[in-house]
Amino acid sequence: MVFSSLLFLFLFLPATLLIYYIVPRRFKNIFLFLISLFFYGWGEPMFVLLMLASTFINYIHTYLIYKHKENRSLGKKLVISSVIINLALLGFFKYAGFITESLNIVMPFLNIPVLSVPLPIGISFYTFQTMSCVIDVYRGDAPAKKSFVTFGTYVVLFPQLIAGPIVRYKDVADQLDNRRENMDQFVDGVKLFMVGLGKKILIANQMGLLWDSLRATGQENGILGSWIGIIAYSLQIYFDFSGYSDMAIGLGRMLGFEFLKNFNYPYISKTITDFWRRWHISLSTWFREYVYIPLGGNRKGVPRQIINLLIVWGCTGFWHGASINFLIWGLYFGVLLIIEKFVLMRFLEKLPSFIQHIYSLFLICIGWVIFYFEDFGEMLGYLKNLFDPSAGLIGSDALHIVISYIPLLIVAILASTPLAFNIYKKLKEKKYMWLAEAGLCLAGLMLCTASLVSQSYNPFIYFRF
Amino acid sequence: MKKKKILNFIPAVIFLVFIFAMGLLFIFLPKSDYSPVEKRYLADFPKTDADNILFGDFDTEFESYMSDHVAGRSFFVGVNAYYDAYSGRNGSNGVYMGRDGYLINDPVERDNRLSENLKIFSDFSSANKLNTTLMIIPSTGYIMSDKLPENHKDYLDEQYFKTIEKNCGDMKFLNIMKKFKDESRSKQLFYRTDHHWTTEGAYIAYKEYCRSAGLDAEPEESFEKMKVGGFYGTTYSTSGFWNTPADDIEFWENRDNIGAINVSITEGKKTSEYENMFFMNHLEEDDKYPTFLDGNHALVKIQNKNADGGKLLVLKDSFAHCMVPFLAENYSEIIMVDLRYYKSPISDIVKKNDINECLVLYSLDNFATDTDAAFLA
Repeated sequence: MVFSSLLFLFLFLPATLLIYYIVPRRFKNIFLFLISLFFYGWGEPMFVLLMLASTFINYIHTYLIYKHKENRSLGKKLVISSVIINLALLGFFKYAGFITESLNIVMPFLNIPVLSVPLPIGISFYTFQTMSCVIDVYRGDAPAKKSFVTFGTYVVLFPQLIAGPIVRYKDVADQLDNRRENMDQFVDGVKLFMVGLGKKILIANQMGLLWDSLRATGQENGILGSWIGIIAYSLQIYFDFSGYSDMAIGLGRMLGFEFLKNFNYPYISKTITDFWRRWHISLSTWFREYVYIPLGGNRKGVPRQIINLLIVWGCTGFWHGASINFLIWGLYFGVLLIIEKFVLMRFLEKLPSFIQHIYSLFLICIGWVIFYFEDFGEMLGYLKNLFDPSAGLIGSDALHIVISYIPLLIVAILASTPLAFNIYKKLKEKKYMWLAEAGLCLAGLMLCTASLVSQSYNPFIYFRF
Repeated sequence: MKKKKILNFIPAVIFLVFIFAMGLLFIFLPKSDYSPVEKRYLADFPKTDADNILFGDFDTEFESYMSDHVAGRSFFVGVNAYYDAYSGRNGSNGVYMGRDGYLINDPVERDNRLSENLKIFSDFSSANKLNTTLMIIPSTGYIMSDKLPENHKDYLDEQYFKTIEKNCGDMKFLNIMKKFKDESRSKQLFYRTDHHWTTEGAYIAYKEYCRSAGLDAEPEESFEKMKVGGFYGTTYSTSGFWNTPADDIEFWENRDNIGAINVSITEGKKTSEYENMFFMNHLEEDDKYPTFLDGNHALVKIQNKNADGGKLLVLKDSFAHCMVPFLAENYSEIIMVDLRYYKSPISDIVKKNDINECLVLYSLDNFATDTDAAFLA
């Protein structure tokens, strides 16, 4: 189930909120646990079992580590066992097809049958969460949960289950048992959820349509058309993902949880280093905390630090999908970050800020081209279109499409800056602000519903042509 | 301070009332099977057997069911259509909201089957030694370009007509583009809420056809004209622009032919006979275009005892339904075939009925996109 669906908005969410606030406190977690299993099972009925198995195995591990917390060597073995099991699950369900295919290319004589395993939704997210739990408990950052239900609630909690943010165990361990829902937090949650829903439906989906139609016409777009295409995709992926995170954090608040921020206006970054402090923060934090620092981080000399960075960024890229282009995308940023860290940063800082912005956005957009195209021919073709003057400035069809999206492009670009939030902060205490907020909330609900209803709007005009 | 605090809760209250109300209305409102404005059947409740739920598409089917039956569906479809149009994306649902209430389909895809289809028809014509006239109706957007919104995709009718002229083989291509462009200044040749041409438009094309075939066109005065309002056609249904005013539709009937006409409609193995080319039962519906010859059928034979001419085979899309009644003035027997529904060899019809004249009559959009012509044999 996804948040931006009629089923979620008008059946699942009202029913969940109603029951959640009716049941006595001691049943709230078990209710959340069960309803999250339903949420997950709606689209993936069979993979619920996989998720439950993974949850149970990790629960046993954390339980044992905590119980024998004085015995460090046993703890270490348990951590290793849990990490191996988690990575094996992730490896099998996410990467088996890719690995067998690649082996066949490198060593065709082996003739391994290619495994095509359907990817269980959210496995990358919940596997990372369970690993964080095992490691946090081992490090003594947070105590283990005695109850399987409490532990399970942390892993499968529906707001962040299928697309993050990746909540670190130590950040919510306490909230799992001792949270107190309150009205102010609930209202904030609703507002943030609405912002996220609007980002996803009213901006990301539309930018996706623009990107799809420009991508389809390829070289005929001309240079400008191709750039607007990749800008539309950059906006789509940001609003899609950050919209989803906002909805998750908002839903969390409605249920009394506080999750950390996942995006912080990444497109106003002045450097790539800055970008990765603002983009998918929960993922970069996870890799820093559970991979980079354990590898030695920057404490073992420069050559080792460079290797560590490349490992972390290779993994970050590969985490996004079982395909070489994601690996390249991760390493692309790894290399850029290394260059910035050791060479470029001191020069960049002296440049006027608009040049820094252009520098960052240019590299980010190129990154999205690598990210989008799994097929290298298409990727290179698109990169060529971005720089090939023989294609002209902009094609006629592309021009008509782009003109029709100009109002939304402007809105999307402004909405990726803190402008609206700063205005909101200034007006927040004004007398009639509640009215404006209520109006926006209602308008947002109407437009989002209208858009969701119309997505299936595909009238069968041929039956009476 | 206290009051202010309560006011701050209002957005959340609106949110909760909205989601609860929409949920309850969805559960308790009665469901209908058919949407008259959209002219389509709505989704059924998905199958609830274990197989469909565990391994099938129950989840996506349920979402379609819900979006089809959500409370106020057509209201929301309209909100979305107008929001898209007024936020710059007029035409994003395939229909432009034009001036003076014109709803106009966007141009046919550049990547289309025009050349393939041309070759199929021209090969068919030569193989059966037919004397074939090809008439293609230009698109509304091209003819009525002054009604289009400022920003619209290019209508490439001129380019396509040149291609047709060049590659029509043995067929005689009757180009009505210029005539239509001229006449459109004073007459309404296309509907505002439907993609078809009007009776007026079809009559102009009929006169052109007669001139080219050396026939005497029946003068306009011979027909008794009946005008009916309240017509909402397919572009209206597709667009979601529900505030567009209704169109008028005209039926021109030659009273002298009463009693002389026989229409036989074959669908599958069943053939039904009628004495009129206008099926007035469709006037009660929003979409009144099927009043002409009862809409789409695989095979329709129209006989007129009063006509002098011989037989004519018409291969066509639905645009023909409005022009064939005029042709019936000149041909004693017209056999009209819709390749989308008729799947047997047409050459058998040609042989059995000893036909040597043929009219291929399509709108440009359909001619360039039709995939059923491939079966023409």
